[in-house]
Amino acid sequence: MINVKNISYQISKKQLLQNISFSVKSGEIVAIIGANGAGKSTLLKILCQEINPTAGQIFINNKITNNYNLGELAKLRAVLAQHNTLSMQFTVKELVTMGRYPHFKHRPQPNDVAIINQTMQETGVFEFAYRDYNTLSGGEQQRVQLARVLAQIYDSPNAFLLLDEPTNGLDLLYQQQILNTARKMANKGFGVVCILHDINLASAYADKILILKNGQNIALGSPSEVINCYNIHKAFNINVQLMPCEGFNCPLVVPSFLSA
Amino acid sequence: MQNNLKKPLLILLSILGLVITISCCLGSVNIGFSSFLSIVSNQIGFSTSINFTPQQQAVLVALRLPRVCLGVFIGAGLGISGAAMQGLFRNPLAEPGLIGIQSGAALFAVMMIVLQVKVFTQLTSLLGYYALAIAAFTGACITTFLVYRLAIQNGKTVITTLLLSGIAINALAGSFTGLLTYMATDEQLRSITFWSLGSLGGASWQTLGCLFPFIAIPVFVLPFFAKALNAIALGEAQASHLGINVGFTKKIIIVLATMAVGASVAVAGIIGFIGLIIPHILRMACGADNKIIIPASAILGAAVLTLADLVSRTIVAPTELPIGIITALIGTPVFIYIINSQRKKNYQ
Repeated sequence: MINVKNISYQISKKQLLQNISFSVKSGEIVAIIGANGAGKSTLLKILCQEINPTAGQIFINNKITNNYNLGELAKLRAVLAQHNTLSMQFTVKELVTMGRYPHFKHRPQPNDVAIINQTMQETGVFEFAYRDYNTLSGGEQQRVQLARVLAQIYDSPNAFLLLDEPTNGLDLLYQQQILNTARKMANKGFGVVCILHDINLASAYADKILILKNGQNIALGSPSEVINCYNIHKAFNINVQLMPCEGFNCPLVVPSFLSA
Repeated sequence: MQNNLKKPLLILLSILGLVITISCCLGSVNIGFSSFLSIVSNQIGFSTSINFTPQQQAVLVALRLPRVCLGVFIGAGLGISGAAMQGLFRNPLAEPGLIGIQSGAALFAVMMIVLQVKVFTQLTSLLGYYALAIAAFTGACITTFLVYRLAIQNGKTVITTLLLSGIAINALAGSFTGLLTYMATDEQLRSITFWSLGSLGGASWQTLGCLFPFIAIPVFVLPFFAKALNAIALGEAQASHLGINVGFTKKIIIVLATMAVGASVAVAGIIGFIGLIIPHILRMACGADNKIIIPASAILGAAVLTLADLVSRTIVAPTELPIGIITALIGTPVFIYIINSQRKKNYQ
């Protein structure tokens, strides 16, 4: 379980996050939504120890994150960043192998190789294992990065997956594939934190949604609790309508300009 | 996996062996292959049959062998530092010169040559032949340290700032060097030119002994950072998510590269292009995995520099051409070819 307790972050005098608290249990997907500049990425960077909060603490499995070393953390949480550029021309398989780096010293062990193949198959990139990563399309590259991230924690029970806008720039099919994979991982017992832009995708896949605005938590709860016209208007400053959708536990959010 | 790793390295090692043998045999005094073998086995005490002239033996042992070894050392140092720098800077165009190692060394060497200040003359009388080398090495360390300090923000080195401050410090050092060149006498100018184009002419067993630790430590330590450098190719943040201590890796690689390149420049002057091109050629042939590229760059760098030195001392014998001219002359077309073929690949 990840426990975020009263996190605040400020640069010079600008308060980017204010008193954010929430928790991520094993088997749960928590989506973070909010307008641009709301502090979503900053929060994720703090969650993965890329930056230190100015106040507050984070506990992973009841141990404060500062007490973990880099190697221990790497086995406990994997991060899919928003922007991924590769400076050298590695093949897909070499790149996914890097996901196992925390687990082997010099050479991947049979167990590592099995996991690498498994995650490449799960994300549908196995067929271009030996292609140059830089020649792939954006959607393929994103799935390769996902395979790497999955490989990193695949055999670590109680590990966490942190995804920063994993569906960014992808078409509908890939968006679904990636979130389906996240769901599968959650069902296996991993905790998932995911920044999303699409409110409907968030309510379709997440167990809990955290809505941020100007670095503040304006709503936290299950999709049916927090997705309403009031919260969406407050967070995004747009008027929306809710449309019930069959077979779907939460109403769809539709911008109001669509209906007169 | 294991096989993949060993094969290219074995091929390269045999190429290096071949180049060393050829370089030992050819020169203003030619030594036949059988004579070469005979001298070597005699020196080791392996056999006593004599199949060579005393002159051949003297040339090989006192002159040519140290020179070939110097080529191997410096080529290995330049090649491996180049590969590590390109990995660290996430930029295939990076080379040790970018962070001011060579320009700093050049500035201090030129200062030694031109400014006959008391400190320098005292230093020369104290250290004799090595004074210039030590000054150059000090210069390399000072500029690199300066560039490194300038690039630290909030306790972290920012790579783009590092490159930019490298460019700034390079320009500054270059202008001071230019100023000194302007002040120099004709004779000083000649030694500046010779020094700045590089030469392995100063080789002796003594130089080799001094240079050895500066090359050996980087060559043996840098391959252990191959995994870290692979991960850094994903991005610095991504590498740290994978449990790599990026800050530590940066520090060690910069220190080791400064060691190898600074010492090389100190002994042989500025030899360009090896650090830049060798890793490129290898990446085209065996992929980007630093587990291969890092050690292979040392081996191929050694082979290419030894070969370049062979050309430099035989092509206009009995005099010799500065080796920097040869490496740039061969290096530039190869480099343009690489840029071109990569561009074609990207358009496919």
